[in-house]
Amino acid sequence: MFIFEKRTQIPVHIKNRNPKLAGIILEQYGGADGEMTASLRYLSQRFTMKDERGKALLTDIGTEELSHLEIVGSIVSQLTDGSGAKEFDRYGKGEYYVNHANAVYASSAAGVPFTAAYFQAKADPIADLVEDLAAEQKARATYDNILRLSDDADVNAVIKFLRAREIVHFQRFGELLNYYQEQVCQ
Amino acid sequence: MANNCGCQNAPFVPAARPGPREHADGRGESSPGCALMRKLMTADFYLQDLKLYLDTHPCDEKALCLYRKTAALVKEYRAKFEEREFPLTDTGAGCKEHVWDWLEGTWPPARV
Repeated sequence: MFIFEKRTQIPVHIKNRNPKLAGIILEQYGGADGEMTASLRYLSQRFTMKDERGKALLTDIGTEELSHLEIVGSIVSQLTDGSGAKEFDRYGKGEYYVNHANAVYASSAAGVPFTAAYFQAKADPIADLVEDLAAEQKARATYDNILRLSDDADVNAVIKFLRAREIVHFQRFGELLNYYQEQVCQ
Repeated sequence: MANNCGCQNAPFVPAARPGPREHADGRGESSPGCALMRKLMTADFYLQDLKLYLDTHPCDEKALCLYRKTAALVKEYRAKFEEREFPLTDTGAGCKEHVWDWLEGTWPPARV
């Protein structure tokens, strides 16, 4: 089961309003390589990992991704907190406002709604882990693109933390994949 | 495989945020509650990172020892924070007479 703790994993404190940047960061909320995709991928694949080690790692990383989803949602919400229709429109986000106003909706930056088609579950630990390794790098690359687009220091401090976590998760998935591949060879 | 962080196995500790800032609820970053929250976040992050490391290195006794020490710290900081500030978890709620204290505190997306 899951236990909610009333805090974010790291502090999120964005001073400036910027609906345009919020729309860019939404990519990591409900986009193909975002935190929603990541958490649901690992929390689904864990059921068919071959041993306790695999079930533990996918559960633990999937759970951390849920806390990252909460962080990304908090950034998007803080960036649009208090923005009205006219401000959204001025930043080129009138199309978002007309449907969702100040809500945090699970879609990509381009407005494509979230879908489970973004990830797989194959009951094959090698196939699943190779997907997971790619997923972490795709998320890392998306965070790199956000850092290229954003000049907001408060936002970037949090994005850099999330980016670093993708690298750690990639390392751990790689260790599990190596462990399983060594077993296959024996 | 190469990355920008040097050793990939070293647990990552986030840098402290510079300078005092005003919070949504008017508390400064230098308030005792805020300092305690920072301590809890830092220690619990270390614990979570050690947990992932131990999942793939279950026989690393040095990491296991660090995990035990950090878990005790997290428990202590969380209990102290809940006693002095507001409930963070369900077991920390229900401590006030006549009022449901779980509603208190910083719900997302509060600026923390």
